[in-house]
Amino acid sequence: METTGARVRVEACGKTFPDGTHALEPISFEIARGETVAMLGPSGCGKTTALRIIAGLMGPDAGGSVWFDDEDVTSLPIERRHVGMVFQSYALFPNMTVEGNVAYGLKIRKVPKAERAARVGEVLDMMHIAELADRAIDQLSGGQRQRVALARALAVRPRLLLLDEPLTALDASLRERLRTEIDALLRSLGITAVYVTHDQSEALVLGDRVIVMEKGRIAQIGTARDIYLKPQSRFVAEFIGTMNRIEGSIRTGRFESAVGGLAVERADANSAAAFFRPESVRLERPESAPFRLTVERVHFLGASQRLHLRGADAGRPIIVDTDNRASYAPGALVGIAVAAEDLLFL
Amino acid sequence: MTVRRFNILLALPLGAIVAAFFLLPMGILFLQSFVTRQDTSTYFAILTTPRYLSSLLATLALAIVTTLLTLALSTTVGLLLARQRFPGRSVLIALMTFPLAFPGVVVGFMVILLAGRQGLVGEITRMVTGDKIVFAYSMTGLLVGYLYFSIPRVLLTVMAAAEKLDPALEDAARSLGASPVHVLADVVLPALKPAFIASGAICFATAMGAFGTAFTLATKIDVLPMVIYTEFTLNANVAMAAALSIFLGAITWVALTLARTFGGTGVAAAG
Repeated sequence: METTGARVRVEACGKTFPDGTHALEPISFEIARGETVAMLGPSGCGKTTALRIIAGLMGPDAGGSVWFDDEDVTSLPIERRHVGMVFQSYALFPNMTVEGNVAYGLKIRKVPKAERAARVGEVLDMMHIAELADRAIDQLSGGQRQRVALARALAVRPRLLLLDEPLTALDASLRERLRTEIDALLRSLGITAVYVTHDQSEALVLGDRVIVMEKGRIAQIGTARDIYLKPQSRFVAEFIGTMNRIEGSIRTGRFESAVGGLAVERADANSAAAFFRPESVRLERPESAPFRLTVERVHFLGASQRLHLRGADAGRPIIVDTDNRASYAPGALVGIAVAAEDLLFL
Repeated sequence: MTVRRFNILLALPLGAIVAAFFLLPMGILFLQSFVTRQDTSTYFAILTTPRYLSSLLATLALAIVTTLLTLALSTTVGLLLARQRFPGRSVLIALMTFPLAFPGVVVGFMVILLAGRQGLVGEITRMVTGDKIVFAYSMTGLLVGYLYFSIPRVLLTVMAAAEKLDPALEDAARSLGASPVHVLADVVLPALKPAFIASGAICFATAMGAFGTAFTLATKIDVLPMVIYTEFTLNANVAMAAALSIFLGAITWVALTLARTFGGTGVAAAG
């Protein structure tokens, strides 16, 4: 199937609602032709507002603009932007069959009947739902509905595909399968896509780049690897994956905390926290390790085991993933070390 | 006591109600229609006597026009009220549903105040054009009265259905290139179809049988409930009154049954 994805530029797009709430502070970013950008964040972070502005369902505040290639589409409503959109609720038309739904965009565009049928057939085949063509919408399962919704959005060969939490309503195993399928589809079509989700694994798998959003602002833009390994703020660090935090301060080249300290190459900071992932922790003898903590709980998972360690404070436990060889008893004192490149101070 | 006996016991009140309010009166009504002549000639007379036939057709026409106009008006207003949030909205909705509280006689009285011989419309037209327009006692007056008490019922049903519509449906249609007119015609109205059928059927049934308003206004026109009243009280033609009643009931029942078949549940008679 031929598609021509657009390059998308969002410039200083903010959104203030009539009641005065700032859903979105002015944000700017670009999406390359054929790129998939995942917008990730908790509910209320502004990701859906940003998507609706790109889609044309909502205008940005004065001063903001949206560009598809070199065309300023800011004042174009969605029906004239030539985009495809997939909704969390699927939003399939209940008064039409599967085929009627998929053909709708082509019918509106007055595509001749023969060509319309051919293109609908092509998309239904691509989504593996050709046998459902004559079904009514209420006879479909959730997964089938999502496929129809995707087929309907793709049938018009949009320049941009917008997906708003498309898998949220599905159960976990189906979600994972469709995620893989959508990934293959987006890559084979080479279409430009924006994928809004609150599920980090979806964002990390599907996004060529991930935009992490927080309170109407962009917290970080980067590849999945950047976002996970080099978070630039506490919010991003703790939002993606499991992240450990030890609060302390840095003075004269040393990070000091209630559970230990180590030499760092950083300027002094009255308060700083050391961040590290469970998988970057090395367990050592307490007497020689930089940090010393008490084992609180041990979850033996077969191939590995996950330890919950506790320091002096009553905050969140430190999570450590380690191999299955040594056995740890609750109450025992252990030492932990983290390689300098795996340790972040934010 | 066995479960079966217990269930029979539970069914007794329903049986009593069905017998007292449906079967017995209907049966007696049916028998009454054969009091004068022991064959179907009374029913035949409805279709052959010009007075009965014209009143039947007029009533049907009035009910159909009332239903269509009510649906059109209530849909327009209902969609607006269901989507827009503005100050005074709830007051407006309360106001729109006010006529539910009035009996038919009061509605008729209000139509007279509006368009009767001393009515508001008459006064205004007399001042503007010199001619006094009076339509309270005509089919138009009756239609205005029927619209007045039909709109709230349909409006509330349409609004409830419109509020339940997934807003993403319209967004989806627009994303596929549909103009606002297409969105309305292809997505919104089809989705509201069950509500239209349900509330339209109630509207039709009410308009077919409405008496109070007709009694107040219909000095020159004969709608079916008025004819039944006249036959029964003034002419003492009990057989014809009964036959007309059964005819009226049958037409309304057929309309409701069709609506229930095509519109699903939620259709009931009212008024």
